Amino acid sequence: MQITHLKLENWRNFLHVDVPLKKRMFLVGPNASGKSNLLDVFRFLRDIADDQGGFQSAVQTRKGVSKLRSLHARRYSNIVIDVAMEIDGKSWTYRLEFTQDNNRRAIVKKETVAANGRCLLDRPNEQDNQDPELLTQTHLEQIQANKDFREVVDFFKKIRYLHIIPQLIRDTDRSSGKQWSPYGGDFLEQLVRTQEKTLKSRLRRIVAALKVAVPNLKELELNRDDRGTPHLRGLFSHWRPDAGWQLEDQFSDGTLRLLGLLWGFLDGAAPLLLEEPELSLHYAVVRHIPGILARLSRRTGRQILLSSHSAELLSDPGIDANEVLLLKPTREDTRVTVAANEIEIGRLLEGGMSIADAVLPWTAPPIVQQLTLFGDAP
Amino acid sequence: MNSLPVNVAVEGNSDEALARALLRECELPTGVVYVQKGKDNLDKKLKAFNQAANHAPWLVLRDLDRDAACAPELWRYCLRNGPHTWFCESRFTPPNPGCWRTENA
Repeated sequence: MQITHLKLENWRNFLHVDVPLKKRMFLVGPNASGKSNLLDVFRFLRDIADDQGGFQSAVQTRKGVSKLRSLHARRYSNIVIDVAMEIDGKSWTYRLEFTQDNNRRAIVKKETVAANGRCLLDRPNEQDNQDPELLTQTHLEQIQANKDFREVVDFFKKIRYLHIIPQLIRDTDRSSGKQWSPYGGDFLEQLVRTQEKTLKSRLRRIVAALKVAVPNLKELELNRDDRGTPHLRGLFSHWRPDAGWQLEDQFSDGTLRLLGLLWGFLDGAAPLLLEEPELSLHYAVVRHIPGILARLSRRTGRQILLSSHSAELLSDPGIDANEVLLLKPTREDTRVTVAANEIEIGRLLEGGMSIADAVLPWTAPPIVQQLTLFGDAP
Repeated sequence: MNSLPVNVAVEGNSDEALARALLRECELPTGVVYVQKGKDNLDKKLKAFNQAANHAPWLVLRDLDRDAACAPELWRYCLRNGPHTWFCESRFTPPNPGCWRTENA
């Protein structure tokens, strides 16, 4: 199950994107180049297909079509998302073009689905022409209309995005009532929702992995307090028996982030979107993230798309230049290219440089030294 | 400035400013700047920069120090295990570009 190709037009920073996607992709670019916006395409599709979501909701949570459309969009200003996928051995394509009407409502201009090259949906169709109101919804969100391509709908629904913010895991009050919070707000609730046998097995595997980064950690367990709020307890080695139990609010940021990441890796088989997984982690741990992802991908077939600024993470010799998407801001938009297609990067790699050494200088701001002058008197 | 951007490889941050100033003086746009952590790191990657120079213009700044009597000799020494084709050309530079820059500031 994987997304094999992505085409975009007029989506946020991007006037035009046309890139193949591998099982493991690293998105590399300067700050504010649009790495999160690129990942947001997949979240957008997930939000449309989600039972609690839909097209209008997905657009509204992003503040409307005008916020989604590239500021540099030309006369043909429809926003276009076109993805190709492999699902259970079948090739699928899904294309959505949309804009807004005079009332600023999002309107589908075109929606097509094809399986193995055979067209299963082509909108607007006769029904849409008779009742244009139908174009305020996609067929992804209509059970009666998407019977022929339910696999695609289910695939989108399962896409997971993870950008754990440790403070949100600790602040259980703030995150109560949330479901599938991408920032880890309902992380502990997600654990509670997991079947006990699966939960225990996963926690065991996570503790074994966490021990590498946090050697004092002996055990992890999940329980609820008197108010029913779930808590994660960790037993850390201490010379007094039972003295080393700590609740999640005492865990370090790095422990919580790594814990969340490891859980995310084990939870589900659909594409996983990660934002800067290196945050708060020791460089020696970060270096092994690509290796974990490669093994995971080989074992479960799971696709992982992640953004990163980390030289440690990108220094893994197993990373191929075809697995790196380079985001380069220009005056008008951000261009996205596969690093292997950049001749100069290819030459540097042939000359023995690592991906990190060859690619990261492309993403550095041109006058970054000026930042050091910030401390000077005006 | 309609010329091709010139990519740059230097030993450290202070050399980057020097390289930018040189290119500005020559009215050439600066491309990607590869700042290495010292001379040894730069030397290790010279082969790769030389390879890339087959495709685009590059400027590599390296202190001569006492590693060789002159720039061409240093260049031969640095690329001694590399390919037979050199895409970079060596130019005579002062033994220590940092000093040169300070003197000309």
